[in-house]
Amino acid sequence: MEFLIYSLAWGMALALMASGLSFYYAVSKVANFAHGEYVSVGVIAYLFLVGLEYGLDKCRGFNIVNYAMLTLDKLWIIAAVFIIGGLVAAASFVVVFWPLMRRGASPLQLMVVSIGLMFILRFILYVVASTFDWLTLPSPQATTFNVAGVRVNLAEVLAMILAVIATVSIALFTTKTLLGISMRAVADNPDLAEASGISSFRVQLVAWFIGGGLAAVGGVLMFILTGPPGERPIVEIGWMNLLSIFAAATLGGLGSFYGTLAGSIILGLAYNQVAAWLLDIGLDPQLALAVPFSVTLFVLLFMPQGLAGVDWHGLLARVQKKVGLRGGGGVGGSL
Amino acid sequence: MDLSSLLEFILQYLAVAGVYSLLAISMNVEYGWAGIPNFGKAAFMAVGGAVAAVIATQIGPMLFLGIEGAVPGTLEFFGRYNGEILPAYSQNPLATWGVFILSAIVGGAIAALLGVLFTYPAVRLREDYLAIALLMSAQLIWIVLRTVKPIMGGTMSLILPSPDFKCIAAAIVGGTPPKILVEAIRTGFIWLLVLGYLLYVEKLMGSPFGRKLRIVRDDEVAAEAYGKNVVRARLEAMVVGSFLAGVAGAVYALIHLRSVNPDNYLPDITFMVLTMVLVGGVGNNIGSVVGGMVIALVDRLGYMIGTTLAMSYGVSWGGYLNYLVYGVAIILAIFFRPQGLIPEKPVKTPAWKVYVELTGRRPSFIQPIWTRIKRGVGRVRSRAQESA
Amino acid sequence: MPKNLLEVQNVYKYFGGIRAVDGVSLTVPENSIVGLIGPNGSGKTTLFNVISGYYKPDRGRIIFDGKDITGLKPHEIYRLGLVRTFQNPRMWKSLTVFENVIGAARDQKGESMVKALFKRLWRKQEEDYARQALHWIDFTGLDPVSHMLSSSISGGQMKLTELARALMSNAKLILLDEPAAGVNPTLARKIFDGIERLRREYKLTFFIIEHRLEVLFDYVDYVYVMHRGRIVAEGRPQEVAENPIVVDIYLGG
Ligand SMILES: Nc1ncnc2c1ncn2[C@@H]1O[C@H](COP(=O)(O)OP(=O)(O)OP(=O)(O)O)[C@@H](O)[C@H]1O
Ligand SMILES: [Mg+2]
Repeated sequence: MEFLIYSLAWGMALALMASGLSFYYAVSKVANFAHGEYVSVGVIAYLFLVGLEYGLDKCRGFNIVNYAMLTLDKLWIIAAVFIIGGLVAAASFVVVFWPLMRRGASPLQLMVVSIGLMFILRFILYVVASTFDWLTLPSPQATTFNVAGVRVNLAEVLAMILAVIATVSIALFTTKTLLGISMRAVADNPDLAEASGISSFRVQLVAWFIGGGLAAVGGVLMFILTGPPGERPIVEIGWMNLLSIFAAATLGGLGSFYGTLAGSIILGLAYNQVAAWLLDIGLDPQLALAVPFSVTLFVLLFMPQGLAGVDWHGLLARVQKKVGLRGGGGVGGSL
Repeated sequence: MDLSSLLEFILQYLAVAGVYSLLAISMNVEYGWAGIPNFGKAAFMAVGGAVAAVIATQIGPMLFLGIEGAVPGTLEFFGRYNGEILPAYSQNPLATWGVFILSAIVGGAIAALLGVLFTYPAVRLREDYLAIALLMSAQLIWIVLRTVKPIMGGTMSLILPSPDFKCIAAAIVGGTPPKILVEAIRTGFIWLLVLGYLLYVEKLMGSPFGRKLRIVRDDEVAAEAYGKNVVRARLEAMVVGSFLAGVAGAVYALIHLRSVNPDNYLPDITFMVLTMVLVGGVGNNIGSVVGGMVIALVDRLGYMIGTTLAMSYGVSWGGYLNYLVYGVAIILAIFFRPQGLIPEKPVKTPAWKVYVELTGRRPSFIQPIWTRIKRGVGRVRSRAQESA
Repeated sequence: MPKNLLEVQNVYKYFGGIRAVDGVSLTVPENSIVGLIGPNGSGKTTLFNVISGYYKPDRGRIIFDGKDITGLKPHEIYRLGLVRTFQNPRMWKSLTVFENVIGAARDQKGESMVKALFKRLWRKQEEDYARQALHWIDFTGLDPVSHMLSSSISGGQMKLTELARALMSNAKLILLDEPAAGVNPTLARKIFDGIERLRREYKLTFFIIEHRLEVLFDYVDYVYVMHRGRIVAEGRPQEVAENPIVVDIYLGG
């Protein structure tokens, strides 16, 4: 039971990061490799803010782990992490992506440039982390509660609550509010949206801010839930999870928020179950990483719209009927 | 710094630059010529490394040394490999060359096959999705290498028998050759390979085949209308690029690092190779070599600055300066020079000779290099006079 | 009675609810110039896309030169001798105009990844094609820009490059999608003069979409009128011009 909750929470933390990516992908169509760094920014920002509270000189190296225990009175730090992550993402949109998008850069160029941004952010994170000796740390504790005989910790609770809140509010936001509806307008047709007076810049900026914030918060929770990824430095926590984030977002159908939540939960359960099972039969649990990788491949190749694209009612009918455009949706462009 | 250590530094730098150039050329075939973002490059190098490991430990001993091989990951492996097989290799220079040549050929072939397997299902995806699909496939290969111990022996670095350059040096000068000569021959050999790659790729690309790849890259819809089989053209580019990457992978494992470890083949190296192509020149093979040389220099300088910073100032992050440089280089390249330092040129087939003959016109890009240089010098000079 | 080079038999193509092509049948006789007209969005380009293999028709068959080509891929249809140009020019933009033209040549031996390495296997063919390409470049009047990157020429020149590419491919039937759109009236007439000459001297067959009826009608043998995915009228140019249905469509929109 506890393991199930843990897997679920892991999936929810992944959902936070993935819905962040999904959110700005929906408007800007950037497959952003720097997204993983927003996650790491969250972790380092969390450690740094904890350090500020308790005195940075006391928090060098391993000492930080005790102070960084997640308790209820640290919730303001989580909020601050959200803002910092959001600011970093918004800044990268303003400085790097927006100017390129205005020049009509191709999706591939945007993706390549995001790799450059990823490297720069990672360098900065390494400078901070190695200055305070935080390169490799075990994961901090979190306050635990006893709910009906089951032990849950604060990180698990937060991951679940925040993921659900984030998903529902983003979904409501994009369908019910004016700004949200204009976001979808921008996604569908930037030129038209611009012409009708919706500032596509402002709309995208908001999406990037929220997307980066969600990634950062998800990162902190993931850090507390599972600790550092493998033997890698904590700075690479985002990078190590980036492919799982892509997997969750593509499984959900990029740009669909309930789909992303569902995709993340499925991945969380599958990944952790497989890892535990591998450990049981004496194999390296790292092998479980094959789950997100193969899921992404499968989705990209066979169901490019992800879960959201599956027309559950018409599925049977669709299998029987062949789609017209030859070779699938890959060949773009108007004729 | 005295002369011989300077020379050694230069030789080592050139060796790294040569290996990087091999990788960059192979990436350029795919990314530059055919527009395929092969974010799975690391896997194709890993194939070369994996084949080298298997041949060095299991097949080579039987084939070249006449003793039984040892399977990595088994209990008696290290005893047999370190105690018996490696010493036998060091007694037998010819066997080390056998291992290298066989690894290069088999590694290249398997990588080419893998290129088709990876790309065929995904070849019609939009380019950014194709990139992610290739990246994920490469990660799957990485996981296989990590977990299937009999290939590379898991994540402990496995020392490999590097092809023996000492015996060549000894054949030239006799006796025990100086270290610097061995180093020079090793570097020379790598650059011989670079030259081979360049000749092969230039020949391949300066033909209707090269033109076809660019046609498909520039507009696949129009390419289909004019009879180009787009899927096939993409696969062909992947076959060439992957073959070159597989061979380069054997060089990387056997001559450059002289060891294998699955963790040498993380996506970081793919992105590094991509940076070389972006910096040097997208679609220009010489540009790829320039890119390889620039990044190798950045690597070396970054390492030196990093260690200096650590030793003299106690700063521990100097080792990560490479990330900063790569990042800035990629962003600057995309923003200000998407075509790279050396931009691509029209495909030079014999058709241009006919063109010059019949029209009597000689477009600037097919003027011989010295005329272009002279013109450039003239322009600079006249500008200097103007400002004087 | 010349034989029919192209037969479109009862072809349908829907995009969801949009009936882009809604039961079209028509024929293009050998060595003729046939026009296809109709208001914007009437399905003309979609019909071309179906004929040239970009879309598979929902129903119906397409016969070219006696063979059923329904469902073949565009590059296979090209091989049989049918090429099409694009309404919005699609240049291979990092290549020069000359390379754009020569690149469209058929059965290039040097396009094989093995043969490419052996120049002697394809040099002769390549040189022949170069001469042929220069011939078509001359023919289309692209000579002054032939060495320039195709992304740097004017829209009208791009249209001409499209035409030169189609000629280079040595096809029997060429589908032209608005070859004279966006060029001045004099040049438009010149283009159609050229097409007429090609039909006469090279025995080519053309099937042409064009909005400039005043030019088109002077050159075509036969015209089909499309409206909302259907052929609503057909006949010789003067018949069609006087047909009340056609007048109604064009005036009523
Ligand atoms: N790929 C597609 N998906 C959905 N609808 C399409 C597609 N291609 C064309 N259509 C629709 O089919 C109809 C016919 O379009 P088509 O381009 O064939 O018209 P046309 O006669 O060529 O018009 P024009 O004279 O403006 O070129 C239009 O309503 C168009 O929006
Ligand atoms: Mg049209």
